[in-house]
Amino acid sequence: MKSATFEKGIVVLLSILTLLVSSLLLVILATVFIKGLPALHSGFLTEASEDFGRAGGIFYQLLGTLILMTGAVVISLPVALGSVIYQTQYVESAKVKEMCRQASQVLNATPTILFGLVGYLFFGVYLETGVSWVTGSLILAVMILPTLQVSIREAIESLPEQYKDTGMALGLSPWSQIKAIIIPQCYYGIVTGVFLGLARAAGETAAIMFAATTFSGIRLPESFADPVPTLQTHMLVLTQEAANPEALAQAWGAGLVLLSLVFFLTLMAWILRSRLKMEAEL
Amino acid sequence: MATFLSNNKPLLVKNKSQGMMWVFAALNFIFLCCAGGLFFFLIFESYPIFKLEGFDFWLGQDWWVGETYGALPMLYGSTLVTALACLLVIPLALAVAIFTSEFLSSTPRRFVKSVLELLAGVPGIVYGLLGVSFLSLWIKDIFGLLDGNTLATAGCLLAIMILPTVLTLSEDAMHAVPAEYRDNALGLGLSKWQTAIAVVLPQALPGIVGAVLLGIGRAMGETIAVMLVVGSLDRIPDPWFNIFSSAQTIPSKLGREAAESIGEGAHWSALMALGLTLFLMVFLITFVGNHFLKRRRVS
Amino acid sequence: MSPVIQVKNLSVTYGMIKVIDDFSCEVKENSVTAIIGPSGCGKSTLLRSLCRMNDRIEGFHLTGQVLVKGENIYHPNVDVYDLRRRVGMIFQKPCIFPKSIFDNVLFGIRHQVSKKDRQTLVEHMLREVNLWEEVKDRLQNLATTLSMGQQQRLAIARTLAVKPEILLMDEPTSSLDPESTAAIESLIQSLKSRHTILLVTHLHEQAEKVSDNLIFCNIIK
Repeated sequence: MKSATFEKGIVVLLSILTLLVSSLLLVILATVFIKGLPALHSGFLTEASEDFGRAGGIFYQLLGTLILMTGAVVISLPVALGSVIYQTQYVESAKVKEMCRQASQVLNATPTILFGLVGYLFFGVYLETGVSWVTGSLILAVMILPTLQVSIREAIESLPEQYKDTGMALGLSPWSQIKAIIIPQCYYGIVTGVFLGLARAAGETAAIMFAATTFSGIRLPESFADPVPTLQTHMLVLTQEAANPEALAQAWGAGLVLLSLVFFLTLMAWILRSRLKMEAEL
Repeated sequence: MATFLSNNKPLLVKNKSQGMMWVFAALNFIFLCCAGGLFFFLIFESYPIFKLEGFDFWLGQDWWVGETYGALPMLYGSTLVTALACLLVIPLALAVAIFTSEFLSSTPRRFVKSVLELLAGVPGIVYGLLGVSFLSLWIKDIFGLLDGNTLATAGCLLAIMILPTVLTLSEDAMHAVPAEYRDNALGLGLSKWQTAIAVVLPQALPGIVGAVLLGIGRAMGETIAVMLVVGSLDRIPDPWFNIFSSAQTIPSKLGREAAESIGEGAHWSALMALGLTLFLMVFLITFVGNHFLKRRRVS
Repeated sequence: MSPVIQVKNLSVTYGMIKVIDDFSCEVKENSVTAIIGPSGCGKSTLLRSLCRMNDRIEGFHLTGQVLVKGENIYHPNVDVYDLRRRVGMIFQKPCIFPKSIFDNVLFGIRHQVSKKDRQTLVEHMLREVNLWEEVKDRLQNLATTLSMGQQQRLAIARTLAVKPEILLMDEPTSSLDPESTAAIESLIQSLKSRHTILLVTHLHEQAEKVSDNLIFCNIIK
């Protein structure tokens, strides 16, 4: 019948489209890999860059990215953990809980360039942390708060309700319950959030562009007030020299390293998330 | 026998546990301040330019530093680029979402979802690099342009960037439609495709609308990738629908110029006003989008 | 001898729904009192109200008085956590944490007991609930490997470790097989001498067998 073949045709079309979209990831990965591999000479990861980034390695850029994202998570984790614990363990009104969740969503949807602008103004100018890796970490910390909160909240909410009842029945205070039940049982959820936060912070350029980074000059930050070079901004500057093949090649190399870093962190988060599910089913 | 009443303890901090509550409350307060503080800062910092130009800020077409600040080209660019991205993304996302949700078994489905999650995590600068190296050149060659950095280029790039988000949320919305609806339809003799179109899709519509809105919100806020391929020219194309001309979006403008004038002055205030406009637009769209996402189970 | 628990004109509502209406009773020390009635008549609510476990539930409102050892437990100055230690609660389904048997017993009092006393305390508690012989060789095993009946006894041991004077049991044998049920019933009899026990059950035979007093509940019309 005509409509049957028509339908079959549609389904085939849809499956092709799905295949195409799924292979998009592979295409992107392959492209970055192919274009980036030539730049990966043996010293790429361990040498400093030369000739305004058109040659040499990306050691200090990689270090800068790692410093910023680690700083971001270190600052963000206590706030994320503390705020979610407060919202789930101490707040009773459903309205307040919902308002906090909305605040998290607002933060999550905010364009990252605004974090950079306002963050620089608040931290860099008003709190006088200047253009430095500290400012960058603070800005990124605010940016990844929702990412951490989502994972932590998911872990806490998947705890069986009876755990709370049992803790209460034993006369444990809220803080004792948090110490003895919540944090140990939510460990994997928290660490998952950490890795996802690291991945998000690693890939972010707009938020730190003018608040934390330098293109040349500084190598290793020697104080809290020094900016750092990063993979992201390194790529940005090189990309804008599109006419220069050497610059582009270096950009691809840096891109390959950056992408690998982000994917590695995301995959680690997935492994931990599946551990969380396993524990919950025990 | 000892009594239950705590006689000699101060009322406010009954015991250590209460003390910890204040610590957590403080951390929550910090979080809330971050969320609200951004908004207030933007308002505060953009006040000077609004005092200077009023509504002309949004209507003016010319942006000359030191003289006048008109945001219309940027507003137009943002809108057009986002609209373009939507046009490209919505059909594709719907098609793949229907297939993934209704025709794939759980393992391939999980594979697709994982792929989408990885795609969503690709850094903006990588997309920017891809756009500069490939997309710009292709568009330049295919359409015979002088410069491949156009609204169309940015629109296409954004489409690829928001595809994972819109797709996965739409797919979630469809997959969340309860099995009874499908079972009833199949029991009445409808085919899988007919069920998908006539039963699942309408039920999932709020969720899909929400997904699209969230995708729009993300597209409007993307800075780096757009900045590299949109051409960075502060003008409304002539004619207005010429998507193959260079233009400017709000984030790309901010990305290009913010470094020059951080701190004070009319220029800075104008940039902050742009930021405020962007924030309000994204906030509104995301708020409505989340509202639709929550209304998924419409019976 | 003055009663250990006195309930005077207790009424409990959740929002608009009234669950308990003008209930009064007295419970003597070292007795076993069974509360029986059809499901939905408010037995669990009554039990939970005796240790203030309902405080956090939205819409919960209580009028009347609940006195334990002569003190009004709903007085604002009361240390609620101390109350819950002294009035312990056992649930229908034993909620065992995914830790060792040893750690489960100590769960409520971990930090108050010095390391050297822990072993003795755990043995003492497990003996009280007649579980010691069955698990003494595998104290470090995961408690979730125990049978339901053993888990319930473990939960009771865990509660006993915080030294309650009153034990509230909400259908403690509903999830158990007949053998474990019998074990728990004889356990209740042996605990009676040192504790006051309130037991919610829907099994009339169990109530008759085990308790000294009966409280009948009916659903509010």
